[in-house]
Amino acid sequence: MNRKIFLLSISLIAGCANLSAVRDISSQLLTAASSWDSVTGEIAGSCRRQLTLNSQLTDCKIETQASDGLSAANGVLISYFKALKNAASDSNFTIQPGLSNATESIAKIPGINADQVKAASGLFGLLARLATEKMRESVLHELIGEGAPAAQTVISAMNEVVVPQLRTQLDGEGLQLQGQFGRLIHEAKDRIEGNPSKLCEGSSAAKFSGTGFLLTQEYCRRQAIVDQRIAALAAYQATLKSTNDALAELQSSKTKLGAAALTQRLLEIGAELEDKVSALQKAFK
Amino acid sequence: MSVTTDISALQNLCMTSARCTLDQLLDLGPKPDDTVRALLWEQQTTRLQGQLNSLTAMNSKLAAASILTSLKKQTDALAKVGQVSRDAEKKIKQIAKVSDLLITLSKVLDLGLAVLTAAAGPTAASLTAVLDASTALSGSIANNGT
Repeated sequence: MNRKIFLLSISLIAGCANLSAVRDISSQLLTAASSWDSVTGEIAGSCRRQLTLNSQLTDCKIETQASDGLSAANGVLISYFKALKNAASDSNFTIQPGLSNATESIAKIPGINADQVKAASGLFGLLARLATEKMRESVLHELIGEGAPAAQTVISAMNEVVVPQLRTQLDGEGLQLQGQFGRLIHEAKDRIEGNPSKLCEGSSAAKFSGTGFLLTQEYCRRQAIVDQRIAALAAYQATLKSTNDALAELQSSKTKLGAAALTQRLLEIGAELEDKVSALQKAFK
Repeated sequence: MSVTTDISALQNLCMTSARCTLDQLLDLGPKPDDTVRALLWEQQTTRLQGQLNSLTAMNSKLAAASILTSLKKQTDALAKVGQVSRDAEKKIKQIAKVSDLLITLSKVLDLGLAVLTAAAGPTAASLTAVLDASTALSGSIANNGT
């Protein structure tokens, strides 16, 4: 009877420790946050590209400060997701190496039999696991209860400020390109019909002079980079939203982290996140 | 009105003006062949290009300033996230210490057993075993810093 109760206790503890969904979503959040630097680095990146054409810019100091600041903020979020992943990883909450050593030493005691060794090490293990599970619970409670709302505040600010500012910055770069290359193409006496960006869609530049044609090629190359970065902003915004959703789910379920519904929801968010992160990584390759 | 709102209003003005300037610049069309009209074209495009450059440069600076202002507002939230993460990692490391403590305990048991065996029948082998167990225990204590 006592043996049954002992086995039941062990299986209950093992059940509570089933945090693989939390660990998996933390890994995905970690990958997402690691991809954000490529986007936030675009404040400085766009400035550096414009600097080659626009003498009024003079330098990219403040833009670099903004990108570095965002990178530092991303770094804090990355550390948070790493801690969340570590707290949900069983390997960080095992006393197995120490327990194995102790079991070996107990087995060497003269006159002790196998059942006694098993009982002694089993009890030892149970007590140690109870203690470590309690510690894990406390770590996760603090990480989710206190850390997640603060992380959400930072992510919301990135969504509300970084995305529109980066969009404006890239739009400005687009206008700069159109003005600079439009003027140079006109100087080569070739006529641009409508918006210069249309030059990159059809064969109208084929009728241009040699200079006009080469200018169009360079314009389209630069404009393609800007267009690619603008398109990547949507993926960036989607990863911010998924991250926010995941943090909200974790907060609403922090007392039942092994629950099936939470696992399902985290898996869905994780799948969305994976798609968007892969689009983001592709855009900045 | 917050700094961010002020910056945003300025940016809108900048971008609207930049679009108008670009339209004017492109509307000038190709450079005329006539020398006098070509000179006028040069003057106008240089002026408009200069305006466009100033406006897009200002837009870039304003975007960066707006982000820096927003980051400043997030200082407390970022400090909180950082602190919670550091505390969690510290607690996770404590688990490894529990395991190390069990390893030290096993070395104490090994030493006790070796001493008992040597006391019951002192031989060269049993005394070497005491010495080995003692060295292992010292090593474990030194590693754990206990």
